[in-house]
Amino acid sequence: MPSVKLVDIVKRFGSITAINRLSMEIPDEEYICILGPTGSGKTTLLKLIAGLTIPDEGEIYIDDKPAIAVPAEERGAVYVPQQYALFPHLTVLENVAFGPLAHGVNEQEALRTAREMLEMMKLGHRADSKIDELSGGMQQRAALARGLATKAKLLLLDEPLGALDARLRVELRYKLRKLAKDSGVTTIHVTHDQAEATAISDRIAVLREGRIRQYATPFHIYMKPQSLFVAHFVGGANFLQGVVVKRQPEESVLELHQALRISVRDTTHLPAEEVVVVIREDRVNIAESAEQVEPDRYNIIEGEIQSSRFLGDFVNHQIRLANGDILTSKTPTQRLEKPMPVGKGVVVYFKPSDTMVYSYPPIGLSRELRVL
Amino acid sequence: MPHVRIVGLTKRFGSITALEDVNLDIREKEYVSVIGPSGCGKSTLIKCIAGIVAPDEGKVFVDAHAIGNVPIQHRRIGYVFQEIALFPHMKVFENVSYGPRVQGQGPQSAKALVEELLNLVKLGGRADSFPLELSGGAQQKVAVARALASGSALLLLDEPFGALDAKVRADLRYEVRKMTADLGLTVLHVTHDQEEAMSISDRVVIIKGGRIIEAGTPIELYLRPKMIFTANFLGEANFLEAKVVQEAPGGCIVQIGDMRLQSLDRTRRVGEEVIIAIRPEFMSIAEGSGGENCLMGRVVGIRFMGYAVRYEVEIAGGRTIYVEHPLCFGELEIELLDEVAVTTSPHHVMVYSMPELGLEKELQLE
Repeated sequence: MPSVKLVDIVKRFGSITAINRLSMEIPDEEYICILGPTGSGKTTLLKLIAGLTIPDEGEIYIDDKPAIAVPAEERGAVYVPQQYALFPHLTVLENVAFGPLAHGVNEQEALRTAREMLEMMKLGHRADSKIDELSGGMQQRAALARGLATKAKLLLLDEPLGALDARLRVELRYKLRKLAKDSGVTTIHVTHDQAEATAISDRIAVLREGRIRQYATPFHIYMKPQSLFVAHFVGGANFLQGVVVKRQPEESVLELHQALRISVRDTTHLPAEEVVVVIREDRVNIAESAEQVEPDRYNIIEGEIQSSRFLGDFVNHQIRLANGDILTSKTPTQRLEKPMPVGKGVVVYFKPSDTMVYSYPPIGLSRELRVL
Repeated sequence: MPHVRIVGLTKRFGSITALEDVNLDIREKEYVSVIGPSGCGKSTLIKCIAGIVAPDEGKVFVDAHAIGNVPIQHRRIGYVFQEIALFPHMKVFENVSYGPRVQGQGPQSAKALVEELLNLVKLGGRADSFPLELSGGAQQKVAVARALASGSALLLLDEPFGALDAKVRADLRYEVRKMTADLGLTVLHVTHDQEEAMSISDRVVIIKGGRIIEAGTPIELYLRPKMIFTANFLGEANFLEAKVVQEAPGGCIVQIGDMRLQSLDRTRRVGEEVIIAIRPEFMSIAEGSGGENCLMGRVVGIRFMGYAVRYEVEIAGGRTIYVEHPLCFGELEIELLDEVAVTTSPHHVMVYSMPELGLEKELQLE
């Protein structure tokens, strides 16, 4: 039920600033994902809210009350760390029941809740196993079940699905969201997996080097990323360098490498400005020849297939354009007979309205996009 | 003779059978991925080939030679595993040259080889770094370079990207794939990640309970899986109980509640109780409340997924199905609680016999 508010939080470890003047508000009952690469400060942020570490500067409010002076166990939160910290000498059921027992629930009720949570985590059949008989993924689910069983109103989950196999991970992420929503808790879920964050959160906070780069709904982050880094980290995209050559009332014309010109739906950048144009992979279309494309609605560029990769629901192609730039496309498998062969000549086409234009970053494009 | 031939491989640990009568041929220069749920035996398989685990029965042939009695250090097989296992006190150069030096290569030829390999994994400038000064992805590339230094044409990869962030992982898999293709290596790659396996492999092998249950090209296995487990393991699918009610040209008609769909499956007889499986992205959704060849229902959930929107639809009879609509097909004006018709093409309706142990048990991921 609680809301959480962070104001100007700074946390340093020696000479490293792990969290750098970070402010954010998490409303009651929301499901928030903290998303960022390794070393971006995600776990530190979670520990600050949990009360396991104290900020050097700033204030934390839980339900509008200052929380920094409140000990971890009195914050009404349950923190499920990446390292599960289960009791090896207890059974799975006893481990999970420990959560509610420690919160003063009577034994019968604790066991009932524990069984319920184990069922949900698909561990009902292992209730009587010892912890070390479980695989890593099962242990992680047991730890998660123990956290959920406390019925705390604020769930702080550090990579709760990180140790699971890819397929199980997808299945359980939806369950996790549903459980949190059904029970009306506030959830803060740390992950490095952008697909997971997009699929289940109400809002995503994209973290990099201890700062929030964007905090918005998944829709907003995908459709209107505030920076090149966010566009790259969430959703995947193509990045092409160019210069504005003409600004018109609704569109501009950019010149890419080797004087290749494209139209973009952007008028905020001035002629001669160096820019980066971003095109989401799923908005890059491929056709065998230009005759199949309406010329007045699309940018049409000739190219050659460089690689094709079948991903199941989608096929990725890399296309080398006539000017040497490389675009990646993501086509629904439904739309393709079969992947295009490497070396095939094609045209790629995309709408001016499916582009996003950013100023060329002062630190350089590759550093701006760097994930580690 | 293929590059690698595995014949009747069986391995037991106490009362647990980790591998049971596994047979597999891997052609020269082929990239084969082995996937399966945790505990299925995939790691044991690769360890048997590497020589870390001795099988109870069966043989492994490499280049037509049985290697059962060849000790690990003489197998000359490159092996990379999930836990990054570089020597932390040695520089990158020393890590990569370790094998050749132990094998008695002179410092000059070892140096040339290591430089070539580090350039190959795009770490040419980092020979003098210590492993911990590199990112996780770069460390794993050093491990690949070290494995290749053995000079083997066979590379075994055991969850090599498992410890890395999602984004780094996706980039690295393509880099490694390209490198092994350029070098003409034969690769056996164990992973739990079906997308990783499909995106880079010539052939995918599915293991469950210590047995190979199915193998094929990624497209074959994804679009036309023979086993219901494969259909679920390689990607999401909607599974519905149905009954074959009619033969149809080139296939059959199945009934789900009072709704009917066409399938291209010709192996079914009328009256058979079956499970049908349809992937969420192969279904289309439209407002409406009638029609042939469709599932009728009500939208009970809508999630934005980035490239697609995921609709949760409750169909007649109370079952829930998921439909994924790619946004590059345009946005839909469908709202919560709308009545909708869900359609699909007959070749996306996969039909399976009712599993003996029940559907849930059959689909279990571990």
